[in-house]
Amino acid sequence: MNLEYSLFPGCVPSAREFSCEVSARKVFEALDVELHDVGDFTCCMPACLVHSFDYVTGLALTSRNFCVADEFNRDILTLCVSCYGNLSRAKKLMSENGDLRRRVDELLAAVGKSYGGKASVKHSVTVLYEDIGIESLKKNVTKTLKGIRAAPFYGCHLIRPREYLSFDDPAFPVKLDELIKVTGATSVMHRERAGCCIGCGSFFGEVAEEAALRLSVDILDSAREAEADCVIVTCPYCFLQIEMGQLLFKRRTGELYNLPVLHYTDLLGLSLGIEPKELGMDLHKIDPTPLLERIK
Amino acid sequence: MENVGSVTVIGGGVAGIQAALELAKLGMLVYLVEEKPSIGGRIIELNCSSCQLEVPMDCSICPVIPKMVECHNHSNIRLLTKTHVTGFSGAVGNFVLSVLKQPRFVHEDRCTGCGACAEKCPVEVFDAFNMVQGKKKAIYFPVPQAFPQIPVIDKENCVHFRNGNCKKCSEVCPTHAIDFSDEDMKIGIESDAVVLATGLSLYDPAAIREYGYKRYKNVITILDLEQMTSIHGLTGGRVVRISDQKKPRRIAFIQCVGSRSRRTGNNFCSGVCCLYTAKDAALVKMLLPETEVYVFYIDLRVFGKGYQELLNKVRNDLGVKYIRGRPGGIWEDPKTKDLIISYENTLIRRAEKLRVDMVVLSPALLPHPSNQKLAEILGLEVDEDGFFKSPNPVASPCDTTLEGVFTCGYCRGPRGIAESATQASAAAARVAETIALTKSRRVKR
Repeated sequence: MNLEYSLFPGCVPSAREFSCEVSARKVFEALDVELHDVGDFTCCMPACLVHSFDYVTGLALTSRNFCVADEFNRDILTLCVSCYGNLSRAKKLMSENGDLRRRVDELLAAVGKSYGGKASVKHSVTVLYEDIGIESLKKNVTKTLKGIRAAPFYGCHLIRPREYLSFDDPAFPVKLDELIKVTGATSVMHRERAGCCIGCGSFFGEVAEEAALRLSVDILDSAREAEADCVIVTCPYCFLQIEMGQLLFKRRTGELYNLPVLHYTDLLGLSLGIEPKELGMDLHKIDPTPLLERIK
Repeated sequence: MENVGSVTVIGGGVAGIQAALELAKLGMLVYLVEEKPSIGGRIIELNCSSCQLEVPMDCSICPVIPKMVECHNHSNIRLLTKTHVTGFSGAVGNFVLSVLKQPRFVHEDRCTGCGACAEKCPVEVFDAFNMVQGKKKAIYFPVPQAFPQIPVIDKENCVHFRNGNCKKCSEVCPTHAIDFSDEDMKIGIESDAVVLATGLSLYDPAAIREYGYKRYKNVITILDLEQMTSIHGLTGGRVVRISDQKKPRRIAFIQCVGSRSRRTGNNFCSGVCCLYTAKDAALVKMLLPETEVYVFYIDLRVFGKGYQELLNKVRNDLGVKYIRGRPGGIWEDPKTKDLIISYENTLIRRAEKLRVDMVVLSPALLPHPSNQKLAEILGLEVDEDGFFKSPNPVASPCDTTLEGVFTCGYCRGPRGIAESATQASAAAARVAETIALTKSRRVKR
């Protein structure tokens, strides 16, 4: 197939949620997709950081990553939907707003760069769905995960805002469900599937822990009501919110949901016959062992 | 009566009917051009129920029906249904309009409106207008109170037009009014002035994907509810959930669906939804006193005489619960088909969820899409929202950018039934004034 991408690891997979990167690398390796490390990538610069006091500087910091990617002539592959959203937003602004682009280029000139806009932004899930495709994924599946009821949780910035993120229908997305079905697992309909975990504004959890926890619990309730065995996420932030939310909720109330949270690449990896440990699943805080036993 | 001038009124809704009647009474010859098979406009889609349902409320349609009859019977009014404007020339005092009358396949002079044809028609099709009324025949009356009381053949579904095998309606007609060879007819109309009353169209709430209209059976629009509470609707006036025909225990109304929104581009307020929602919430509460009724609103805009009082009554005496907040999404419980609404109660700044049996949406009311085309044909200007422009909205609210062409009703901007009728009278006065001036100018020459 010979697909190649520049891996944009993002801060959460690099510093907090390692299993996300581990499983993505393993799965893409198994699918013969090359992920190249580019040392020079910086933060994707979420809109709530620098943008809020200096919009153009914030945009320049995001856009700088495109200059780096262009040097290698490869598209960017992100693991986190927040990175995917922020980079996509910058790309849209830079391609549509000439004035903004000129001002950003002035700032980039200070580091000897200029926005070229060749590279496009992709997320691991959009690469799996669009670039590799359901049919060729099916050919690679060696182990069917029949009987597993998986509750998809799309993650806001995979599908919203639709002005620049058009992967799927923002209100009734279906593509992650299709990807789940590839593995033989059942994708479960539940009400919070296209909901928000507030993870992308991780600062929100710091200032309003109660509210953030309420959202996590809501997602868990939604999945549990639908009798799901696990929640499938596409983003390390969602992963943290939903997994760590369970531990936080246990600390508050003593009750443990004990609902394993899996990256989509974990689920796909298992169906490709990769060992759970190689996918970094031993790093998960909610032990997926009982679930994995059922697959054996 | 002496003919003192002629006027073309485009659009046969409340405003068009009112303007036509006023002008006809002044002795003018009025051509009333309506693109649908019946006059009455949007109002005939509203409920006709209250007397039969024994609810102490005014019926939406009752005050207008006598006007429709009068308009239909007036000797100075020439009614052109299933007709639209295709060309326009001339200036004030001698406009020439070309109109195209589409075939009804029923002879308007011969038909007595007995309805025998519709009874015999073997075809049953889904009524595209709404999801509640359900079925209609291939030859049908648009609504029970249609004027003219003449049925129309739906060419696409009629067996005769598909394979020529059926003539049942024609055989049963006592006056031989069915004419399958009816064709498009081009008509030229000379008139001194023109009144535009094209009215409104409804925003399709299916475009607000997160509310799931057309995806979830129990999410309906306010017009569906009007049909449901209509005595001639499919449910015969009962309010039921579409999914299981059961009585809903909790109903939520959502206002401003697609209006006042930068996302849809419809920045303006439709102007009437707060009031009709209160009215329909009250109707539901009177029909089903045990049912809990909720209304989601951004803010409440009820400013006419007696309107605030009605709202107060609905909130305080009937116990309809008002929640300030525009819901972010609706999720259907796959098993029960109940609907879970996610919203922020902005008065207490709290994100909440509400489980209801049924949701009623109030879609944005948009200017009629034909305005753009008419503006091109007549050489008028419309604003960015699609309403006709007036050179001076304050001093001459009925005027357009062309002398001798006037507007009334929703095509000039959002307004309710009463205001549309008032403005129609104003437009009629402007027409009379213009024609009088034009004639005196001619005499002076």
